[in-house]
Amino acid sequence: MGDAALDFMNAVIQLDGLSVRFGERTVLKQLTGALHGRCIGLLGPNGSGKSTLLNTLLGFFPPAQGGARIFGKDIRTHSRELRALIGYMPESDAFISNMSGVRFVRYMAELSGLPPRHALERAHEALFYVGLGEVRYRKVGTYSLGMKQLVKLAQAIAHGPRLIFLDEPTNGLDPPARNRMIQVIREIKDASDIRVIISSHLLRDVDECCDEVIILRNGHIAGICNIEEERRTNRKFLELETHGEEQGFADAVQQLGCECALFGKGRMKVVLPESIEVRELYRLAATRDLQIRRMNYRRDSLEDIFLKAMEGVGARNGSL
Amino acid sequence: MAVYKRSYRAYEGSTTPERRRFLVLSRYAFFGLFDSRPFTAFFVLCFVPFLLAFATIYISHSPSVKLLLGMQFQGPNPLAINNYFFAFFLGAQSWLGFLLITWCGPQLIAADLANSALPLILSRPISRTEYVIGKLTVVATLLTAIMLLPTLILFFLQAGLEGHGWLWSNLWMAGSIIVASIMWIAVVGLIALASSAWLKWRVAASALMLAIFFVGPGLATAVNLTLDTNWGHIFDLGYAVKVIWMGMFRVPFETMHRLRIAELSLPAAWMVVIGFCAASLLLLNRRLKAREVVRG
Repeated sequence: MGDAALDFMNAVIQLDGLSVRFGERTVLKQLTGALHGRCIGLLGPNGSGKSTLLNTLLGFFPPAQGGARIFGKDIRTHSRELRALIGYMPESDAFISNMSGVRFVRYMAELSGLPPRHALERAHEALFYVGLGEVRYRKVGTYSLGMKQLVKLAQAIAHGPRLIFLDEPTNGLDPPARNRMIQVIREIKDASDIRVIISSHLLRDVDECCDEVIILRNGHIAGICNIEEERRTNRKFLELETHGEEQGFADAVQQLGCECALFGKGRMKVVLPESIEVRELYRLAATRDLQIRRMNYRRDSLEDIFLKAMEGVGARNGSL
Repeated sequence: MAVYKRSYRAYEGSTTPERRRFLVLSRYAFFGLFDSRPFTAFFVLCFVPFLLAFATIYISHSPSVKLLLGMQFQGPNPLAINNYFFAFFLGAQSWLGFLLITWCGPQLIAADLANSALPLILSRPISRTEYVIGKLTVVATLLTAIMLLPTLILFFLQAGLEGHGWLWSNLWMAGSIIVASIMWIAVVGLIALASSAWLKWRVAASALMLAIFFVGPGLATAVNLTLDTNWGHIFDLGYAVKVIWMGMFRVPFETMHRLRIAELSLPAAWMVVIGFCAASLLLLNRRLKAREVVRG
C-alpha cells in the first residue's frame, strides 16, 4: 500500500473531489484533501462554503460529485453511523425554548442513543463542564446569548462523540465568554481522543485552538496547512541584530552546524538544526565579545498563511 | 466528564436500539403536553362520553335498572346498541379527538422549528421519516386512547352482555371501528403536523386546522350552489370522512340520503381523503429539512 493510500486511511476527514450544488449554483467545487489534525480549523471568508462543507459531512446535503469519508467511512453509505459519532454545534440559534437546559441536553443525548439514565447523568456533567451547572434548571429560552452558545456546546458533547463540528462557536460572545469558550474547546481537544473541527472566519479562534487548517475560497480549497508543523519550523528560524564583528560570528555559527545569512549592518538570519539550542548562540557571542541586540523568531502567522491562500498561493496544489 | 474531575471523557456505555429511537421524540412530546394542566383536564374530559355510553349499554341490558328508572319503551328501543350506536359514538369521540389534536398538534413540530432545533435533531442518527413517525406516534396514541380503545371496549362489553353469537355476527363492526379510527388518525395527524411545520405560530396552525374542517363545508356549499353540482364536497374533508364511515358501518343508502351524506360517491370520498393526506406529506417533505437551501 502506498504512502498516499495510508495517509488517506489515517485521515479524520478525506475529501475526494467533493462537489455540492444547490440548483445551478456549485457551492463546493472538487474539494480534495486529507485532514489529520486533532483540532482542524475551517477558515474562509463569509460565503466560502465552510458551513456547507460541515452540513454535507453531516449528510444534510447530498454531494453532486465525488465524496468524502470520516474516519474512513463514506458519508453517503454510513451517514447514520457517522452521525452517532459526531457532535454538532450549529452557527445559528438552535434550542427548544420551553425546555430546561438539563432536559434539552438530555433529550439530545437520548436521541444520540444514550439510555435515559445515562443521558441524564451526562447532561448534568456536560452542563457543569461548560459552566452552566448553576443555571441548568432554567428554561433555555431565558438564557443569554453566551449561555445559549454554551448549551449548544453541551448538547454537542453530552453523548461523548468522537468528532465535534463547531460552526462559528464564538459568534456574538463578549471577550470573557469567548475566552471561556476557547478554553473549553482546548480542554476538550487535549483531554481525550476526540477530534474537533472549528469553522470560523475569525483567525484568532482558529490560531488559538487548531493544529491544522483548511482554507476555503469561493468553494475551492485555497490551502491546507499544518499549523503545528509551521510553528515548529518557525521556532528554529531566527532573525538577529548584532553589534560587533559579525563575519567571524557568522563563521562560528556555521561551524556549529547552522545555516546563516548576513544582510549588513549587523543583521543576519540563522536556521538552527534540531540539536542546537539558542543559548549556544549567546555563548558564541560572549566568547567573541559580540552583542546580540535583538533576536526574533520568524512568525509566519496564521494571518500570513490565510492572506497567502486568499491571494491564490497554494491554490494550485492545495497545500501551503 | 465527571463533575468532580471537570474533564471531558467519551461515552463508553450501552446505547438504545436504533429502531426504537424515534420513540424518544414521542416521549418528550408527551412530557411537554401533559405538563399543561388544561390539556390534561381536557384529555380526561374526553372520556366522559365513554362513561355515558358504557352506562347506556349496561342499562340497555339490565331490565331491573330499566324498571327502576321507569324506562319502559313502546315501539323501537331508543337504547338499541347497533351499528348506528357505534358509528355515532365513534363520530363523537373523533371530534373530541380532533379538538384535542387542534390544541396540541401545532406545537409538536413548531417548537422544533421556532428556534431551529431541527438541525440538532437531524444531526443525530434520526432520519426525517423517523422524525415524522415519532411525532405522528403522539397523535396516534392520543387518538387511540380517545377513540379506538373506548369504542372497542364498548363493542366487547356489548358482545359480552348480549351473548348468543352477537360477537360473530357483528365482528365486521370491530373491523370498521379499527379501520375508521386508523383513517382518522392518519388524516388528523398528518394535517396537524403539516400545519405545525408550515406555521411556526401555534395559534395560526390551530386556526388552519379548524379552517380545513370548518371553512371546507362553506366552500363546498358555495361551489355546489354556484355551479349547480355536488362536486363541491371535494373541498369538504369532514364530509368525505363521513361518507366513508357511513359506508364502513353499513348505514343504508336511504338513511345516508336522508342525512344528505350521499352526494359524494365512496371512491370520490376516498380520493379526497387520500388527496389531503398526500398534500400534507408533500408539505412536510418540503418543510422538514435540516437546512434551508437558497437555490441560485
